[in-house]
Amino acid sequence: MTSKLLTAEELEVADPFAAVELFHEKGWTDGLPIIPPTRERVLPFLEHAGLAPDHVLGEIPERDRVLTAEHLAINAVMAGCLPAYMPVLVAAVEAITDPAYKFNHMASLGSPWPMFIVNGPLARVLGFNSGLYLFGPTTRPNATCARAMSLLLWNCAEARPDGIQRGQWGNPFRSVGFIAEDETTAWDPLHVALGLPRETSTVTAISLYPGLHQLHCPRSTPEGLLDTLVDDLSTSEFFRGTYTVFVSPQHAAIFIEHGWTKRDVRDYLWKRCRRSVADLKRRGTWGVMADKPDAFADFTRDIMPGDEERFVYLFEPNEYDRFMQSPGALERRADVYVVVGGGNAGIRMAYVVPYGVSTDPVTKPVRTTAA
Amino acid sequence: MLKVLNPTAGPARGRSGVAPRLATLDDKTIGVIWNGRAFGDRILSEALDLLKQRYRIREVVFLEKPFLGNIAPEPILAEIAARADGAITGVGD
Repeated sequence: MTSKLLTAEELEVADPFAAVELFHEKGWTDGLPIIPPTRERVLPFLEHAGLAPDHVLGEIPERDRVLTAEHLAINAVMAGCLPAYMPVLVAAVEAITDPAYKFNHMASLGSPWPMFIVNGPLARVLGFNSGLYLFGPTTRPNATCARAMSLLLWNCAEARPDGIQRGQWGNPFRSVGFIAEDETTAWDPLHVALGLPRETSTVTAISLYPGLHQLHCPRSTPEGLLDTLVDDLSTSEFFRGTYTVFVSPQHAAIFIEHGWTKRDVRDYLWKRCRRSVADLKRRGTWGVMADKPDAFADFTRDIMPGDEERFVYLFEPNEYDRFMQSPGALERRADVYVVVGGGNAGIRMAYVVPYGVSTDPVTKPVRTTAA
Repeated sequence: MLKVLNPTAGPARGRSGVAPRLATLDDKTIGVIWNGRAFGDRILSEALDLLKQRYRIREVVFLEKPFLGNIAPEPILAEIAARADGAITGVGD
């Protein structure tokens, strides 16, 4: 592999500071300074991943775009990454260009953005933070990998406000949504729960609405902890999909001490997260996302006798789905990913809400055969 | 001096772009693909009314995608291509 294989246009500048100004002027950065991407800096990234510059990592057919190893390496340099992070970033790009991820939803008004969760041995080797101040800023890999993905899509997929991005509020996970799971508890980490070998390192991409929902849970039983979560989830967006719940090591110890698995946590939420038809009508979401609810004779937005006792379930399919869920939400998986992380002494749980209309989480293995 | 690399990427295969423009909409059939989003049909109807004020549009072929989160299925695209001289699609919210 030689630098001659790089195909990106080269621009001459006086010095690194002039490069930063040029990138601001061209709209090639996100408002922050960048590390100037020179051939000398970019090539080690490709070498570390063992990839040719024109290696296609993924396609975005709706935009007629391909994302190559060279595109990724240039933007990773700009973000301040180290070459060693490249295999993790490659897996992240493969995840969001997988057809199941449905990239075209990224321009949505709801400002969806992928959170990336790194699992397996490489997370620790590279120093990804899974602990205190998880959503940071904290460490170099967390911060720079999040920014590398943001810059890559900014520059190569028009994912910016003057491009295709039409999100109303934007999404802070663009800056901090690259994290690792704390795998020191007795619970299986996410990738093992998903059926992958423990020794495999993985990246999971989950498209989220902006915002981390943090809950004060000063209780000491599994049911007590989860009842607070049930209450909050039941009043959230109420779009069916895969929700991610973050459990602190302190709370994980309570669950484990009582013999609860991650699956038990998921099942508890699955059965209990619900809201009355009357509540959903009061909230104004009844029939909004559904496909032609007016076609059903029994559809009305007025609160009817019995609506206080009729319930719609967040995860479990039920007879009222035709009034509440979009066709896309009904097509995709409903699940709860339980991820351990955050400060060790912590009585707060947290969760994030998946994008509501399409997209499923995608997990990809990290290949580290080269370098 | 320092040489830096352009970090951007454009369309890869030239498969996207602007379709050939019609010289006029007079006596043309206009295809419309509604993405199914609430109120989008109203916005598209308003747009068609405005066009009809300006042009003698022969016919409108109004189709709806089954789900806004997916690309329009091939039969819908084929019908628009076969029956319409030009097409309007977009997001209405």
